[in-house]
Amino acid sequence: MNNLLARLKPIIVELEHDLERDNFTRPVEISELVALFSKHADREIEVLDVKFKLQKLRGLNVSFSDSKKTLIFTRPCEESHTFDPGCEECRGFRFTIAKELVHICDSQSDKTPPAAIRAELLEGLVTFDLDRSGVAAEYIAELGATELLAPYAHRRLSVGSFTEEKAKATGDYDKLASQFGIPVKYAKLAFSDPYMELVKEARRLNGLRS
Amino acid sequence: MTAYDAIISDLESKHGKIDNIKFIVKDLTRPEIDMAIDDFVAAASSYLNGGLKPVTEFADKGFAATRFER
Repeated sequence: MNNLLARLKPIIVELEHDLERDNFTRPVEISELVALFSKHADREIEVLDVKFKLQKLRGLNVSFSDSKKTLIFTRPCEESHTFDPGCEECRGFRFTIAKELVHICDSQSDKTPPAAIRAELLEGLVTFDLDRSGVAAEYIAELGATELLAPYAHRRLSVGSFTEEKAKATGDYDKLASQFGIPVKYAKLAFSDPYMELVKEARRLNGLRS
Repeated sequence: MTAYDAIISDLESKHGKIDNIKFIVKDLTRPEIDMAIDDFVAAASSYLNGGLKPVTEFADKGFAATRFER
């Protein structure tokens, strides 16, 4: 988490500044994340709408070192033409793009070159071999996407709200997921006490407001 | 040369060296791994042929009306 936040720090600082300017009354939009990654990672980012045959496949990131271009291939929700915060598929679409954006900031050892995709990433995922850095990068990117779409500075303000307390009491995180536009699984993670503590400490170590 | 190798070569001809490729996939069977790679090849091929539409509007602007409780 420390290394992840160190890599995302300039983006998180500007994102939280913009949210604070709006009194944290709005969720993060994907277009602002794309703009922030373009600016801070010096990348030309193109997001492309594609229909994958494999339902489990939600997104692909292809990054080029020379041209500083990143292509993100992603599959939008097939049910909704506009974003529906109550739709888990729509929330998954946002989360997928955010996660692919986080991969732009992968460390050198976390990157997967084309020749290693089958051996080091896909087979590694099947066996959940977290010792493989390319595989671990997938899980780290999920945490990164969580911190971008439900930033700690924003979540902290929701702690103790009726919605947050009800979610913790009932185990139903759908409303929090709708508010932040993230899948339920990650809303539950984001508001868990151990995770909040983990992020708080990592932010402190990185000089981010905790 | 496999179809995957060929499409990587074509992508690199257009944009330079690829240093990172990430797929979001978990719990895949071996046939599904092949399908995922086939999907990548098809998507990249469509892109190179100008057949993919760039997403510029993410349709989550209306969502910005959400109000957060304190």
